[in-house]
Amino acid sequence: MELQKFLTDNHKSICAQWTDAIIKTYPEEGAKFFSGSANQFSNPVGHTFRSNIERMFLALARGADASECSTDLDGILRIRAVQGFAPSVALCFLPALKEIVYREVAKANPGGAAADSLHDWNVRIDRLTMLGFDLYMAAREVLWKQKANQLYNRTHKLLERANLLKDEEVAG
Amino acid sequence: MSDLPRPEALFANIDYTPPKADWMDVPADIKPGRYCYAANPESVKYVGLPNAHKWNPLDEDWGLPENWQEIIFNGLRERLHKFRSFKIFMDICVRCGACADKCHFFIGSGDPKNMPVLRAELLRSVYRGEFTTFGKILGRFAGGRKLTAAVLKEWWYYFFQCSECRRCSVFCPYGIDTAEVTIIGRELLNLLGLNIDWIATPVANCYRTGNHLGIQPHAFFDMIDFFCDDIEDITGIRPEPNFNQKGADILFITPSGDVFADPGTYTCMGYLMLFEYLKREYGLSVTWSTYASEGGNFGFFTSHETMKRLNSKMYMEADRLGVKWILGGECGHMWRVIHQYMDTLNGPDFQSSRMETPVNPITGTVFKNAASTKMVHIAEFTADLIKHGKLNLNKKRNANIHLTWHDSCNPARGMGLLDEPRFVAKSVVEKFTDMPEGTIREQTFCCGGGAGLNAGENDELRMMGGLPRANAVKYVHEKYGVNMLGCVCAIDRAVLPNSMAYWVPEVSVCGLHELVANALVFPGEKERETDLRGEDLPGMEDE
Repeated sequence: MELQKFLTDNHKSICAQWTDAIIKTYPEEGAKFFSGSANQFSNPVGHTFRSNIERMFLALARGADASECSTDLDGILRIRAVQGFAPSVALCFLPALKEIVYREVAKANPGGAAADSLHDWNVRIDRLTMLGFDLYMAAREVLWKQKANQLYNRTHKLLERANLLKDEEVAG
Repeated sequence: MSDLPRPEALFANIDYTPPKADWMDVPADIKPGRYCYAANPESVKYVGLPNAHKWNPLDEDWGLPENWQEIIFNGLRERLHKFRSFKIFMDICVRCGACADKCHFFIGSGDPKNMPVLRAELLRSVYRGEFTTFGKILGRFAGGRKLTAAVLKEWWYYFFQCSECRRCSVFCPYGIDTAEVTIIGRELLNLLGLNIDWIATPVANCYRTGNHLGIQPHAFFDMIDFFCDDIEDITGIRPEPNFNQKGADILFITPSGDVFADPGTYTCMGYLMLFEYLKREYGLSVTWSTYASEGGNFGFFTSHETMKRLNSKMYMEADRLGVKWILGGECGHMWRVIHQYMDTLNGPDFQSSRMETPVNPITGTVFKNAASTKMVHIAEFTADLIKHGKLNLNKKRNANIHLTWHDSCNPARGMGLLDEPRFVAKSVVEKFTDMPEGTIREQTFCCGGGAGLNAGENDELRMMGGLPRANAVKYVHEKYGVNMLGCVCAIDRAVLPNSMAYWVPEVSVCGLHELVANALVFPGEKERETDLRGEDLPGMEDE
């Protein structure tokens, strides 16, 4: 079985399962909403999950490196990073793709040595997961920087008003 | 390879799927990042609100008075009697779900208790369970439940996750205003001293010194003077604003955020320049007040009584100074209170008899819409001036800006101010593109920080709630090259910069009158090289 063709031919089913791996981490009513309307403005979270997942999967299926998924993965993780999940839960859908593809391949090729043929694929998903850590942390860093800047600006302005700063510090 | 456990097996002991349970059986899990710190008891005490005490939302014991249930029941009974709207909202909801997916906090978080219908149900279920015969007998079968400490904590957690933006109410076929349920919910919590500090302390400050930050008159004056220095550096024109001037025609009141927080400060410089221009060209007589130095009304997020008291200071100051009418700055909640509550709270009788239906002294336009409140929004005022050709404007100074417009919830949904800001904006910028339908005008998405939710500690909540707005901005940024988000609300100007920095970093935030002032050409001014932010004007980059 040629894996690339298999993945491309079955992308709809696999993407649906991969999207579900994210969606199922939400409470039932929230999950139902995110799975519902495809309108990108009334359901931005669901729309981002679905469309970014599909683009990422098709890129990976055609053999692209995980780094090509950076923008789409960032779109998803920027949302996950502010929804109060533990980091492991926020990223849990990434390793889940290995199992989803393994099951699909095993189903289509019963008795075959599916795991061996998936070695390269799994390595790419590992790289995607590592990229996910970087992006998740970058999103969290933005939030922390905002907090830090807020405190810095508050103090800086008070010092500036009290004429306790040197000229170069005022400019900075 | 095949002997290794598969990924799902490795994660088998971790369950990422939340348990399926009826909402009444899922207690509130109070998470850092989603709640604001408890009110400082001194601030609660200062305005005479009951049960001021020190407490922590993460503690098991919230230090409630022994008879807390009785206090809530009496408070609820009193409000059911006093506010017919509230009584109706408790009774008529058929849980059709039209509002369910309209709240920005639900759209961004997926937390079902942020669905407006369910948020209201938190209170409605107690009303049924404790106040209606049907609910008392059938309990849960009739959608009723008892008031327990866990229920009270759930109220607190979720009523302070509602920004009272009223987007849900636009979609309710019965016209239920869920924000009103939140307002009463918060009012009941205030009976037990359970406010948040980002509301309680600004309220106390505003009551004492006239503005949220507690800035005293001399410091307020200093800040404005500081802006005048900057304006003089940029334009060669030094504004000479009046303060507390008795006998002025018009009193100007704006949120103190414009005076103390970027980028609102540039909007404030815009007001100063507009008034100076109008004074020099047409002799307009406007005064600022260092006492009524706050348009925002955080009493609105506390109780009707507190809202009334903070609102009254503006009209007491108008009376003291003897002005004819009030011109209001780019504020959000101030306008909602004035437009929707003030006539009942303080009423026209409260106003000085010297106040008149506002007339623009330069154009002669009578603002009949403000006949009752005697207060005109500055976007209406400036639109009127532009319509009559009274301002000399040069759009080219804003040529590097591609603007989109965020309809601030309260002026948009609370008073129907939709077209005036757009008219002004299009008169001062060359490139303007609206965001898609369903995300603007009456259906505008909240910034995520309204109703007192702009504290540093609940930033994750604000990011989730700000997602639908940012998502629409991202669309017009990517498709049309929009790089500036305009608005007429001080809270927007405080919240949206961080939201943009997170979701669409290429887009900045500004107020309307910053753009007006950049375009405004004073007779005899020096050639400007920078805008009000000190950034090079288009065409001046290499000079």
